[in-house]
Amino acid sequence: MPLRLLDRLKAPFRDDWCRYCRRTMNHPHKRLFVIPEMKVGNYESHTDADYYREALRPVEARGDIPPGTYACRAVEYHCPQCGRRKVKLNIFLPVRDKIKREETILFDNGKRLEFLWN
Amino acid sequence: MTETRIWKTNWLYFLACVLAPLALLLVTVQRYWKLPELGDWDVTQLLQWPPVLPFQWPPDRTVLIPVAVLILAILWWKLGVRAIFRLCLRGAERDLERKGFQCANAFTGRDCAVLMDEENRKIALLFKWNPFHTYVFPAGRVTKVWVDEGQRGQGVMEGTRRVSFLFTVGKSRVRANTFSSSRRWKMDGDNVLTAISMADMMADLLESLRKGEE
Repeated sequence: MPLRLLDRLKAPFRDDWCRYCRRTMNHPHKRLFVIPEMKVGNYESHTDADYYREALRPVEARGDIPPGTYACRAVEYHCPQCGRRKVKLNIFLPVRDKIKREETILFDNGKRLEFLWN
Repeated sequence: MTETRIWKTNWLYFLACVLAPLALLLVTVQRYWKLPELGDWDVTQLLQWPPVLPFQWPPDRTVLIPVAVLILAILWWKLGVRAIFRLCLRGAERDLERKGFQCANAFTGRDCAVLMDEENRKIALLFKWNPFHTYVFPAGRVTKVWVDEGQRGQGVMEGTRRVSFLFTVGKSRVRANTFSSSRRWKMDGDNVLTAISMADMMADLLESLRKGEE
């Protein structure tokens, strides 16, 4: 019983935690993207998956991101038990060897962002 | 137009902006507070406790006129000069557009504005203390572009007061601040990182414009 309670307490704080099955999810996909239209000083928050369909462009490494352009690290979480998918978008501004974190967006319905891995 | 030296400060305008409100303030103080001549000041009155002013306050409300002038002068120094710069910049942008300058990228700082025309490979500059003259020149005249993070101090004192990108045009060096402050900020602070990123981006754009010209 104490373990179950601890799990429940942990769940809201972990992105890779399936709240339905209460187990750790796999993360089969990770990818780095650049958001060319979003430049430093013009950041706007978007929570609509369709926006990211249009705006994100995949890049191989951080060195490929032009200066002053926002980037996004996308991670997909997959629950092996119930099959649910979540996608976490970590939006940041790369500044030389540092980063300025802007926002982390979690999409519970990962199927809407499947285009990211194609 | 292209070979002229770049004057970042119009000293006549600068002195007029700084000294004119000061002169007006002195005139109103002399006129309404009826200060005695400097030689007639009895300083011993100021030294006694409680101190006594060495002049008589006017009995009516005119005593407030120099105070109002002081407030207006401070407002002018803080806002008026910036407002003139913004108005001149707007006018310059319209004028440049009429002359075929296609502004693709622009940076407007506190002290200067840098406008870039990628189509015609030209750069336009406007300075806060010389706002009535817009300098337009081919990007090839820019000889060097770099970023100054302004990093000073060591350990816990490490930080910056100013982040800027700089470039040289002929013999003139132009500095555009993307961040400036009276206190020192940590190098990994959000505002400093944003300023470094902005400076890197502008330097990169200037460099590519300059190289494209060659």
